[in-house]
Amino acid sequence: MLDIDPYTILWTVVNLLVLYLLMRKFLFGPVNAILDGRAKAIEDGLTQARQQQEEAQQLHSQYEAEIAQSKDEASQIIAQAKAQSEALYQRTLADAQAEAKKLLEENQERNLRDRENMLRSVRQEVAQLAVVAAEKVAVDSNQAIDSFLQEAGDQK
Amino acid sequence: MLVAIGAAIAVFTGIGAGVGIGIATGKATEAIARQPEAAGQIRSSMIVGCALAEATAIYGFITALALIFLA
Amino acid sequence: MEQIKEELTAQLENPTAFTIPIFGGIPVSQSVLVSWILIALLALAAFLMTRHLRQEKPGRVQLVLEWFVELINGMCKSNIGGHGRSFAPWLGTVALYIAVANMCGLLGLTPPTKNLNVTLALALTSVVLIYGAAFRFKGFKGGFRQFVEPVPVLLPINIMEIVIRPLSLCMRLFGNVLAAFVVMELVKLLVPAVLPAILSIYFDIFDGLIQTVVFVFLTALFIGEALEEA
Repeated sequence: MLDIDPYTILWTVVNLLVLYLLMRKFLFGPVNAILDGRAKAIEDGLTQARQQQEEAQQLHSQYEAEIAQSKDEASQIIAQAKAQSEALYQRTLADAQAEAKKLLEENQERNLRDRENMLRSVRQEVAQLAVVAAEKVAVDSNQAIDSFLQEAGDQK
Repeated sequence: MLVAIGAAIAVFTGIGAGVGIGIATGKATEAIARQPEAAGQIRSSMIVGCALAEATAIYGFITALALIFLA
Repeated sequence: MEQIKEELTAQLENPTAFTIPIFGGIPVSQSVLVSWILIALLALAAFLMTRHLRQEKPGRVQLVLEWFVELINGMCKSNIGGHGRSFAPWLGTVALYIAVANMCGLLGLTPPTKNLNVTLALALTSVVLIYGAAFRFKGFKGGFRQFVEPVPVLLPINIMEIVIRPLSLCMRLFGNVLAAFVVMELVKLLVPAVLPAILSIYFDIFDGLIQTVVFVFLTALFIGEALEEA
């Protein structure tokens, strides 16, 4: 019962080693691989989720910044456009006014010139007329004189 | 005859183990009643303690067997 | 009395099953033969059970396997610490072997752990593991330093422990199985029916499992102690 048997001890050690190798190959190896794989999968999933969340957050803030920027830009463009249109309006108005003034002045000037021209031509014409009239008168009077003289000659 | 008496005396080691295991289990029960959330740890240390205490009874028993069968 | 004694003596012998006729004959005891049967069964069961492992939606068998492996891993981690994972397969193997060896009485086989030499071999491997762990993970110097810790005065006691630890591990397992066996035999002599069946549930299953847990737990505890950073 209490006798020591070296062969049994040796056999048992060999048995244990064999069983260890078998169990490691068929039980602990595969199951540990599965457990590790699952832990890794969960860890990966968590990391990925965190990363995606971070990305989403980043995108969100990026979009928000972009929206704010575009809003800024829009209002800037509107203000610019307003200023531009205001300037254009002012310039157009000024131009128009200037033009109108110029036109008016020109008109006035032309009117003045026309009048002067007219006056001058009228005066010329009058002079001509006077000359013509005078001529006519002269001719007429000559003729009258002639006819008068003729008549007078005839009567006599 | 004397061998049988010797074996009986050897088996008396069981008294110590019994008392020891009784005390350990009683204390463990108290501890679990006080802190039920630590029940697992208390149970495992109690089992180890009981095993160590029980070993003395086992030694006595083996001695008794050795006396009977080998003497 | 004499009759009982003779019968028990006959039951407690470690008969040689057969002899391998090489090197002048290597005797194979009955315990070793039973161990071979158990190892074959265990290997076959493990092989069949781990054939269809899935990472997602594990089956019922796989859940049991995972529970067992995680139990061993957790125990190694809590008792040994950082290096626990490397000892888990060995301790799990030892646990499986002792458990089936203790319980194989239910199948009508003689438990190998009833043989002192088998438990002695188990204890010796444990001690090699305990003291080897310190050399493996703490270096050559660290391996020797474990004998003068916590104070050098304890050197003789630490050296005595090298003998005491396997002896107590071996004797505890062997004594329990032997005691269970002897008590069962005596009960069978007194009450041949019913009561032995009930008692066998206690001795074979409960006590067998408790001793398994104690053996593996103590080994893990000793390894953890040896690896403890001073």
